[in-house]
Amino acid sequence: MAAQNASIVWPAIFAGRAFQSSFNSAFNVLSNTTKLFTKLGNTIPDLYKFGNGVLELKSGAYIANTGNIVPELAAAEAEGAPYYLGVSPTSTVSAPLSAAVEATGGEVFVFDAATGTISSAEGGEVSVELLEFLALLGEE
Amino acid sequence: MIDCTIQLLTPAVLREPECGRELLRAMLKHFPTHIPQFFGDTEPLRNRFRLDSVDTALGCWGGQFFILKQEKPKVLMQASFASSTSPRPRHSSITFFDFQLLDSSDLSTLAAFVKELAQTFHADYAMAHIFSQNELEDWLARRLETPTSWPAPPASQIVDRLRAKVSREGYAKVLWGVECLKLQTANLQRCLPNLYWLNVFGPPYVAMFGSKRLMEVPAESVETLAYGGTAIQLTNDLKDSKEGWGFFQAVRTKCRNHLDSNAFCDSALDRGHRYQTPIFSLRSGLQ
Repeated sequence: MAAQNASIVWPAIFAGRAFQSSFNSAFNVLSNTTKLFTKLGNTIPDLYKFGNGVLELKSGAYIANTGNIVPELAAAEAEGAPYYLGVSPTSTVSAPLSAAVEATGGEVFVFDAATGTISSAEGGEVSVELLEFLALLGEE
Repeated sequence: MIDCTIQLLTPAVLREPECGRELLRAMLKHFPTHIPQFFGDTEPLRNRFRLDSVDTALGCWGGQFFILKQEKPKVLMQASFASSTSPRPRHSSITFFDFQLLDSSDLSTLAAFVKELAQTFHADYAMAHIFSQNELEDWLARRLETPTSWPAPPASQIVDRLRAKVSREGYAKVLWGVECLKLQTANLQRCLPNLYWLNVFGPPYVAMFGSKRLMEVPAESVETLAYGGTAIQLTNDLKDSKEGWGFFQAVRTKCRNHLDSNAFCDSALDRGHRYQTPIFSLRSGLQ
């Protein structure tokens, strides 16, 4: 059973890492190593700068307000920072999560690893604030 | 079935379980068939909702989120509780992402339900909208004609992705995303995205527009609510046909022009453009 679970989980982990690595290359940013401590759990978001933003990348088929997203949203709200969620073009994001992200002043965006492009999950262009956040991380 | 959505923003903190009880009471009073099946404070929802143990469900109320779900008719609701200590104050919100009605005879009940919620929670802003496939097609056609620039992909790729999303998730979810997702404090402090089928403007908006101008808006109905808000229902209904959508759009344009076009977001204007915005008092809620 454990071996069966491993055969399901590991490809997803490798796909997630490849997605994050493509994003980091496209926007010239380095993964975050700072751990955030909240009442709802501790977490290391993919990209982070205190007070400026918390960013998580997910490439799964269905993404909901669960797991490490819960403490990350809490950390963003506590800091008054926007929460950004980058997903793949084929990901489905639950409506409760989309609304929770938007309420922080952040946004859900789609990263297409094949072309290196990003757009708002809802079809518009991403916000200037997200581009500025990525530029800020790129300077470090 | 008619797919609708509801959004309500309140300066109240909403964390007291009594607020959750009031919300459920109002929903079941107006829509006795909309009994939730599942509830929780994170996803996926694993707890079964039972009418005879509402207190158990309300045990989850007041953390960060409270979510309710029902399959038929579809109801998906999230209450989001603003932190009173966040450096970026925001409203608490009650969002019905999906709220299905059996037919158009339920529309007047929907309007009464939203007005009661606005009154109960002293909403700064509330709305209800009827989803229409014609509205989504109209939006996608406009999206296709709007050029993009790097790092965005070409407009045609975005529209293709959204059409694939419609196949996966349904048109109502996609339309909610493009038209209603932005109804949050941070965006309303910049500009008002649009007018919807039913709009409740709370005291900050009444002060901004002026009550005389609100009362004279050329809509189907305008009503002053006891707490100081004004409810504006644009049309009797919104039929999902080219004609129905066209009629609604014409009324909406007239009402927007009457109110003040500088209050509404306009993608043709510079991002730095200063719109007319209300002044929200976000730290002096009901509790």
